[in-house]
Amino acid sequence: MKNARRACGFNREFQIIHPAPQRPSTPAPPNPITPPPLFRIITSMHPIEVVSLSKSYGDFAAVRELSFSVKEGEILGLVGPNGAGKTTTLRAIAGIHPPSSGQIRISGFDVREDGVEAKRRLAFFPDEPRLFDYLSVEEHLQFIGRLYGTRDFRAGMEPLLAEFDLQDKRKAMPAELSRGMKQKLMIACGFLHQPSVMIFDEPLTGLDPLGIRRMKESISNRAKAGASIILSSHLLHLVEELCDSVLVIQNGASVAYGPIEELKWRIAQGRGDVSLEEAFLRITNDEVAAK
Amino acid sequence: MTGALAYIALVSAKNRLLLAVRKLRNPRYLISAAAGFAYFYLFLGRGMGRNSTQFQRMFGTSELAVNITAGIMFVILVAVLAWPSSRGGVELSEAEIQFLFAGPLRRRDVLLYKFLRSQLQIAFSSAIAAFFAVRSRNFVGMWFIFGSLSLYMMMMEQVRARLRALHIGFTVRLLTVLAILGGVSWMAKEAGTFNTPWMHALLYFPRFFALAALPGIPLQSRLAAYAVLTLFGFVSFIVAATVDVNFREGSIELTQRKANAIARSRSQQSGQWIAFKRLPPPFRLAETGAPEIAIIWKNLIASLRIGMMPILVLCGGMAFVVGESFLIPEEAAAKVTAMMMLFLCALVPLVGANAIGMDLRLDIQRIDALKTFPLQGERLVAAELAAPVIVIGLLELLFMTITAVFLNTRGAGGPFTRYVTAQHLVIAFIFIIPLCAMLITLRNAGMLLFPAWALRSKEEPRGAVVVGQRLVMAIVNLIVLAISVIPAAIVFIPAFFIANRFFAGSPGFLAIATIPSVAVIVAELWLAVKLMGSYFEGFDATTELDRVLS
Repeated sequence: MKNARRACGFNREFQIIHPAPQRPSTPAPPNPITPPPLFRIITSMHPIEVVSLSKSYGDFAAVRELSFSVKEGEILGLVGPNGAGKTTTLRAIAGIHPPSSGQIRISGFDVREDGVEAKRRLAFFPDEPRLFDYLSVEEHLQFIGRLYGTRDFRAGMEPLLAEFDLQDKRKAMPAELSRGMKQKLMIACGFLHQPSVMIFDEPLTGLDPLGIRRMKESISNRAKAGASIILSSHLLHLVEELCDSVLVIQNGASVAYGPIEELKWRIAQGRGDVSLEEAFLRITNDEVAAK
Repeated sequence: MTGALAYIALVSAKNRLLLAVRKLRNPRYLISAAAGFAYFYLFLGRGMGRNSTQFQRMFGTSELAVNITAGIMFVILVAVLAWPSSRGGVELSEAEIQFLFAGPLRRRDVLLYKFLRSQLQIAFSSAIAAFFAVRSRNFVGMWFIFGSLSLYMMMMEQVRARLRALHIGFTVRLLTVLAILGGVSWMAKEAGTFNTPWMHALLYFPRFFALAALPGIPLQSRLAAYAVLTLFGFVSFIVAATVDVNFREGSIELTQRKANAIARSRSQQSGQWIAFKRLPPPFRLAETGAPEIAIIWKNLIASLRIGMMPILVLCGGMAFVVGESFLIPEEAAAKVTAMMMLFLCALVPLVGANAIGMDLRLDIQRIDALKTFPLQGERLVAAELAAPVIVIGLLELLFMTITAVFLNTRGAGGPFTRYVTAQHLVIAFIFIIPLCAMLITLRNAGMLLFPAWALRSKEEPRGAVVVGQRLVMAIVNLIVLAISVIPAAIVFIPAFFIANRFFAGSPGFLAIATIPSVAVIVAELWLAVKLMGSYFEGFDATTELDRVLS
């Protein structure tokens, strides 16, 4: 229940949910006000809502009781060590694999119950672009346009081709594209139907410096336009630069969740400023690396 | 060092086996494996067993059987000299090259590791050979044969490389082999018998393979054969370890070739190997409308760009048959042509269902992308299946039209004009398309239900376990197909009698008799698509595919 309340987003103040055992923990600020029902209703309209999400493979719990929400125009950074359960979480939200328990709502549509409607509003960008090798760049966009029922997709396609430097490659097949180009094509396909929810898993992998800058601008612009975004990355400076809030997971469970500035302030404990990287390392108990 | 290598080889073999067996903890895989092996045993194993008993009755442990086997082995042992590969070295994995060649190992350590590592495959081959040839009685003998042969092949690779270094190339080796075999045949022909002293001398050593393999050999002779084969393997090993060749370079080259072959095979399976990449889409995709059409459009493009080769081969076959019928005007030739055309018509659905797999079989490697599409599972599955059915249907329609036109204009005569009428062909078309759809559905269901068996793993794409899995998959497919047509066959019997009673002689007679069966198959297809769609929605790619795709 505690997690479920947190998921509704009424308390976005930073919390270390499972403090490091060796270190004196910073107690989570008490929740002074129990939200009124009306407030619950309003907060339940967040485009991304995850309540008590768990995913197990046999005896192994990849994700445990994860709850969070993302508002319109918000970018949530999902960070954690390798094997923490980030990709599993993202894939469950995207409807790629069913969660073992819990609830995921995209723009109010339950991913399990009403998957088609949820997916219409969503775009998932995996770390490894898996394109259709027999379709050209333009055909990819054409295919996605029809699949998502994008009206006048050609009008939407041209600016995307320009945004991602793909105009000259419109007839090229994926095999003729570099990894970075493939990544750009995949992201262009995702942007085509103007989703209100976007999920990025390591979006900068394989991009050149200019591509990185453009990608950051693209993500930021989509958020400004009102899209709710989850961004998973090991590049903590990227998360710090782009994201409004952060969810740190370790061993499948949430260990910290809240606004980035709040997280850093809490970790610094009033003694100057710390970077997100330092905060992350302290939270995930990697003291050696933090030093 | 040898102990460490032996340990790695054995542990790797054990782990590979465990990985395959672990899949059987999933009831789906276990039941299918049991069904496949039961089929093997009941229909193939027992039959082969009977054949082997007949073989034994015919030849027994006669000198003839031993001589024939020894003769075959002699040819194999000599022919290996003419094998094209002459790089030297051994085929390893890229990881093995990295670790073994960077370590302080001698050539013989690497060879020993290679030999030990191949034991699982040798055991599997021995089991299969023993199962089919002489049942399980001679599994040990088969193991000795395959084991010593693998060492002999290893040696011959180095010998061929050494010969190449001495400027004795493939042509010379081939001519030498042909000369040896030709000479032996000529001498046997001159003598009028194989039963000559020099032939006995020639076959003296290969006879030990026969003594190790054939049933009913006395234990003493068998043990002697095992000892000789062990010695033969040992000598081969020593020669392989000492021949002056660039072993490391050869191994790296062989490994690279293997890696390329695997990459090519995987890219063919995933649709990355595109034969006709500039072929335009078959139709213009409208911007709005049913999203399923987008899937069909995509798969038709794939059929054109990837699957065009088998289509061209089939069309080429038909064009050849038609062309030949114009060149040879005799009536007998027309009959042969008609028969060939009908054969091709029957071949299209069978070959097409396998060769034109531009459906879930192609897309399973992009299942993550498919699962994010805003489509219900059953609609997505139906759309995926549609493209190959359309392609094969069109091809079948084309072939049947050509056949019907040919039969009616050229008048092949005999049974063809009497029984193969346009009406028959239309009915066949109506029946064949759902049957073809059923074949395609079954193959897709196999891919969805048993992806770990249907897809090739990255590390072991040609391993013994994979061969077994493929066989089981094929047999399970066959069993399910046979079961799925039973209801249609049951419905056909009363439908035929009713149609015969009320519509005999009418042009619609065959249609009335056939359509209920077709309806049953269509209903089964509908049910299958529904079930597959529901399964697809709950499909967890992580647990099923990560091992083969990562």
